[in-house]
Amino acid sequence: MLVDVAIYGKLAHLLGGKFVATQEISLPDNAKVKELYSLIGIYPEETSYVFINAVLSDMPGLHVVLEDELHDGDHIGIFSVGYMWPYQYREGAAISRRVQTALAERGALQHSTKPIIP
Amino acid sequence: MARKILRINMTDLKATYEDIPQKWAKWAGRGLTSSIIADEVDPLCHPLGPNNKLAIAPGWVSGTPAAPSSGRTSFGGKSPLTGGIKEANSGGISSQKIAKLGIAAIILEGQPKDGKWYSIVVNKNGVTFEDASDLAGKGMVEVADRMWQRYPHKPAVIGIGPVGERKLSNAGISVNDPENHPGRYAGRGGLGAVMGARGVKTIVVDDEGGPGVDIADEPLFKQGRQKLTKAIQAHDLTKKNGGLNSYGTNVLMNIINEAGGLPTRNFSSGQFEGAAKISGEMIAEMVDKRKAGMTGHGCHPGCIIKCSNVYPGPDGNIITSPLEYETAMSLGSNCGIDDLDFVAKMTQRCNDLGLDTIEAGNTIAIAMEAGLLPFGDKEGALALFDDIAKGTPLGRILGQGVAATASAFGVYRVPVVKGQSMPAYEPRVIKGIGFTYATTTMGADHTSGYTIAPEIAGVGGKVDPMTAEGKAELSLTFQAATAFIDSTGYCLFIAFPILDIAEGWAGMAETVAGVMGLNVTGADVVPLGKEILKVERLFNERAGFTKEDDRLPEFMLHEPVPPHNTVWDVPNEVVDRVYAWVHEE
Repeated sequence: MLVDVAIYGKLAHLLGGKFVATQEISLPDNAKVKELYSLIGIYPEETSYVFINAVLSDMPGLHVVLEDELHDGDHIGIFSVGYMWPYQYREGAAISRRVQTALAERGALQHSTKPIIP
Repeated sequence: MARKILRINMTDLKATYEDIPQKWAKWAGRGLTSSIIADEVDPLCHPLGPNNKLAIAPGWVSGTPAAPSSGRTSFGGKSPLTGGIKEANSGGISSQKIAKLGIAAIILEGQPKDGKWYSIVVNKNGVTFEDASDLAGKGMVEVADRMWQRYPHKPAVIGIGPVGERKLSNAGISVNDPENHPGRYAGRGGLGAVMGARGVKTIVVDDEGGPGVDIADEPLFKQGRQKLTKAIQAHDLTKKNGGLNSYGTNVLMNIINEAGGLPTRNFSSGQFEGAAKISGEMIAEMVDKRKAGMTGHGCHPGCIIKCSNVYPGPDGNIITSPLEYETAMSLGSNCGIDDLDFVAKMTQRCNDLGLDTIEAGNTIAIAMEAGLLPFGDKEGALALFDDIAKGTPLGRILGQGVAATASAFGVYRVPVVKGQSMPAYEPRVIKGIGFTYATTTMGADHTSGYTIAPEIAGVGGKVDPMTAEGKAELSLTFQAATAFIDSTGYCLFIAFPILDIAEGWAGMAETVAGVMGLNVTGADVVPLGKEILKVERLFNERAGFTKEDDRLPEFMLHEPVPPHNTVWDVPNEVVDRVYAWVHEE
């Protein structure tokens, strides 16, 4: 299957870009995100926000996207560490079940890699 | 020296320094400008008439030694765009200079009897009124240059371009940055027209030899400053080489696009195929490739976040500064334009002519929807600024903003609240921002509801990001905290480190308490902010606004926006909870 991949920030060099890179990547059917990371050479701790088909699927410090399955024609956008998405500008956006669960445990308002509610 | 109110009467060309009345004594920044407007301006007056005023105020900590990122100046008046109260604040170098002259606020009132344009020069010796006929019709680039040639000590230049002179509703007020670029704007709501209606082309502020800012409790101030500085320098987003420092505010372009919430082609879609080409990452790439311009630029002395940039053209010559996310949305994705050089050129036309970039780009999108030119027509879009510059009938319509242009061209999809067009977050997708767009007294505004620490807001354990439950209360808390930060003189971006780092929050409150000698702690932030919101809300009520004005535009209720294909479906009674407390407390 083919997955449309976009990488933003410092990790873009892994797909030949400076700060932004896009590429269609061939993966085995139903491959998981961790397999994509492995193929490209991404360590989860180097990532922050991740979107799959416009659904927020990971956030700084959570690393909950790794087990998500990808499908033919999916788009995944991967942001390097250091990005921001202030709470007031993401409140109510589409969020994956895994991120919802993680936020329920760790607090929804965090902006950085460190959870604000211990 | 106690702070003074500088009242400038343009009818008599007289300036007086007044003691601060007790009722305003605790306020600065937005709290002070809104109190002045509420107390002295008839809410039913015409915004361009003799009874409106322009209030200008630095924040509590502005002008203090090395308070980090504290260069915001608040501008207030009755808005010609919304018909309600307006506070718009700007970076640049004016805030610290006004404060160092011992001035808490400048109140500009009256209108010249001779109909002339004036420059007002404020320095340690007082105020002089100078004939500005030679500046009439000039853009802010030339005006700023001339003022630095004419006056010593690299003064602050607060001014309006030709759009403000024509008193059009999308006229902003420009403030120069440390390199004398005129790109810092109190942009929203048409306050440039309010200044133009006073006959004032520029206010030049020279603080050389001024008395400086009194600090009531120096040890407390220093303690707070140290904590806040440490938090800003430690946080991923605000530290050197962090997100804001590397890519500027336009770090959000690709994120919001990936989320499906990027306003595109007059709010008809939430994703733009050319987003990456007009993003902060691309700005950084152009700076690197063209070996000119810069990222990590500071808009005022003492800023340690430095989210601004200086954008170069292909020849290495500077096109504009800054190029921000909201601007890249309005002049880029919302017009279907994916050429960063053209977005930069249009930004510079806005900065020179004296236009708010958000409203200007969204207005061009309306013209595109109306068929005046196709979406994506970058040359045609740039050429429209010639009409605005010349003041042709078309240019004057465009200078009035989105709502007026939509009326002139018969467009139904009009993304405004209270007459002000929406910034770069699609509320049908990012529904939390919809509450703030709908209810703030300012019209659709992305800076009215910044997140604050949950332990301060008292909402830490109650927030569920997937339900509407609690969102009204959250929006109110955010709006109140923002009104407080808008009064400090600090940049709103300190919100991120003070949210995530408790010491930073305490430090911010301690700097305010240290300067003012007030007993302010973190627990006072929301109550004080609510006092400001109430003043503003009651002004708007007296101006004729009701809860029925707290509504998103009709098309958003039934037009699904791709890719999520969602509509604004929050019941009105839930929205109305945001300000239900005003007559109960």
